[in-house]
Amino acid sequence: MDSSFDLARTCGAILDALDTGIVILDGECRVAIWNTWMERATGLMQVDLAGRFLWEALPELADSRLRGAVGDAIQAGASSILTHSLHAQLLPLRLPDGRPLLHNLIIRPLPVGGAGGCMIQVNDITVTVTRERVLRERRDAKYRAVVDTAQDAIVTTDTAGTLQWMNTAAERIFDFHSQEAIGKDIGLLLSAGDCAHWPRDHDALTMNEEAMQPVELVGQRRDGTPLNLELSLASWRSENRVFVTGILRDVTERRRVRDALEQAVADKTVLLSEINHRVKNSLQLVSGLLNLQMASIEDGSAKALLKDASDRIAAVARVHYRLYQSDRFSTLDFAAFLEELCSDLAEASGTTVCDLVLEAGALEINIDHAAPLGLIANELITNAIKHRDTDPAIIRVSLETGPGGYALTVSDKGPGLPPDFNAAKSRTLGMRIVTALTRQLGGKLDILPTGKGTTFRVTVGDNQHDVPRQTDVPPRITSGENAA
Amino acid sequence: MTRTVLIVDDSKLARMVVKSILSKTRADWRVMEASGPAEALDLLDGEMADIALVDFNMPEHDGLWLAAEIRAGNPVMPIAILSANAQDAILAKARELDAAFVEKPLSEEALAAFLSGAALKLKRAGK
Amino acid sequence: MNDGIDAEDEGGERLLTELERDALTEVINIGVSRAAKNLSRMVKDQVHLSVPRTEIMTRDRAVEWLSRRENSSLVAVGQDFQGSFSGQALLIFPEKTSLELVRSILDDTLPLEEIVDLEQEALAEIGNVVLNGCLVVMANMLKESLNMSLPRVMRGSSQVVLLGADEEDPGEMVLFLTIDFAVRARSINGYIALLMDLPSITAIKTLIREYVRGFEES
Repeated sequence: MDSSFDLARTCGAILDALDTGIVILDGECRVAIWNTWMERATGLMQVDLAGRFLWEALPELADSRLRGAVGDAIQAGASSILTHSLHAQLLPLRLPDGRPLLHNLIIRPLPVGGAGGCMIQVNDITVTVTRERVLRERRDAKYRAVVDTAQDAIVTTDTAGTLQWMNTAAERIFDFHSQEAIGKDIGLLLSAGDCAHWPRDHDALTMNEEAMQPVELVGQRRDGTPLNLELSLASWRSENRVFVTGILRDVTERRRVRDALEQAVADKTVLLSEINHRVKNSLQLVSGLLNLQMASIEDGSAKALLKDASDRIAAVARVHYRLYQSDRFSTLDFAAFLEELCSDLAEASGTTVCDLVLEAGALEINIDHAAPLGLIANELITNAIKHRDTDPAIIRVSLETGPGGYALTVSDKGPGLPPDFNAAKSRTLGMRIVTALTRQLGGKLDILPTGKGTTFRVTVGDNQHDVPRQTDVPPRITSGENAA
Repeated sequence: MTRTVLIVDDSKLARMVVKSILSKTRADWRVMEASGPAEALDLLDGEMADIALVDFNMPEHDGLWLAAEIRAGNPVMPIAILSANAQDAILAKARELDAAFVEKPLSEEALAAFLSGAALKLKRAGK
Repeated sequence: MNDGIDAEDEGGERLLTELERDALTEVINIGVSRAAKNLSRMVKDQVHLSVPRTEIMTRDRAVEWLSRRENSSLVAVGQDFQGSFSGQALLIFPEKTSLELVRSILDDTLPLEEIVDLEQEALAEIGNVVLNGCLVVMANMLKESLNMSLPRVMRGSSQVVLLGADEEDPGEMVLFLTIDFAVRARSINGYIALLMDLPSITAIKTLIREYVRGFEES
């Protein structure tokens, strides 16, 4: 048995059975082998091609990359690949049904007949390319349903921040065709200041999605107009590469509404403040009118009554003035109020007339209590001044706060109260004002025993003393939104 | 007749290659060498050269720039650009400057062919 | 372009004389230019490849050298070559520019999804063109025949790319070329690394010396 003969026959059979195109050229680029697969794909037969120069048999290849690659293989032993992606149609190959056969070429040096030569291997990738396309389309169709109909912009970059893909909403929101934006940096869509919110490199690789909250940032449209966006991020892997996808929601409207709300609240703040100012003005006007009235009255006691009335109105005006000054309208810093009241009363009476000492701890009083308590203080102090028996009157005013509530104490070293004095039954206007207002406050009026003089104490318990939580913001907005 | 050839290439070896071919094919011709465009222009200021062989790939200014400079001062001098990078754009620019193109690595035949053509051109121009 | 090779090994001995360094650079330049020509025909547009820097160093130092210049992930196309000098040739890019490079070379009419699918394949071929350009010219000019493998694509840090999966002798030498790629008005930086063992470097030295002598004598 001639084994070398069998080997040649067998090799020939193998070549013709292969599901790949094999072309073997000798050192002069003449065709030595053109297997059955090649015959089927080109319609050219080995018998017609054998011994001919490939470039003469297929002249369109004479000036191609294939020729260079063949030359490199024969002369220098270099292997080359020519891929379908970079060359639309390398060889004129067709599938049985007439469609073009998409292929890759691999060229390798191969000694032929003792001299240099090369082998060209042709791989049919039509199915792969088609299948990949079909798979991709199928996969895409699933996501396309979500992604294309999404209202929010969805954008993908690699770890360097280079845009890979964006959905239709993104095109619309940012005003870019995806073809224009792909390949550019994500900074194209984000404002310069907020570009850092998009993770890159190390940050992208180590993104911890559980820990990531949506973040608000400013993006930009094609023409530079800023966009208020909320960004949610995720990272994923494909073929050993890491990608970052972000959903960018346009929150411009939400932001606009929030801003409008904040503005409305600010406006209300100003308005309420103004109201206090005007109330003070109105009360001062009334007080002024009474003073005028006073001037035209001859009767001394009538005059005194009008003066009292005018002073009381002034005390209430003072409350509103303090509120306006402090930019508050839910609480009043009563200690500060007392300070002003005392200094005003002392000044009005003259320094020789009264010597007022004030001890006040800090106390914020609900606005509904401020005016009554203010009037009470005004009455008690004015009383002490009026009923002094020495010059100056020695008056002590103290304001104590405690966990149980607060207490206002006014004591003097005057002549003292008559022994059968009953505050509740007193007929004087001043006392009636004090008891009535104390009752209104839900408090207690006590007359404390002292050696010399009189001590009144008004105590208001904590359950009556309803101070809203200390804040500098305006009252709650009840519109259904989460309250601050 | 004897000619002077200016060789401009930043690679000493490349200049040696040209000189070697010249000594084989045109042994009586004179050779001037420059390692860059600036040096080449300086040389041409001082001395006359008949033919210029200019490498394309040089730092600061490429061969086409130098060819343009030389051409501006001398409309007749045969100039050849030497390069492995025979791209259409470069070939076209060389043609515009009326310069030839010889591919690297240099073969004796290719360079000799250019030199013959250059000698003929000079004779016809009465130089 | 003759920026010179820093050709000293660890012992301080000069590996190549100045003229030999010059010759090696010129050979490489011609190879790279040839590759540019081939690429430009594929791209149907101008491609410029220039080699502003050439260095020789040990593999360890090469990893350090490359890490210092590129601190992000890298993509490399590699081919082995065998003959009187053997080793590995690598075309190295920072990963972020590789997609840009592929896009600039691929047909612009392809839809983007296809470009991403084809990126791996296209990179392999681009690498193949560039590396073959260099190696074939080196082989031809030095009158040698080399056996070159098909390209393969790798991704990773400079460590992974230069040292590879198996821990070969990190003392092997690397010839490092920094290349500038200018394609379709984009400028991309990359590197070519030729990894060879000392016997191969010596073999190349001899070949270059002979090559140079061929011109010195005339």
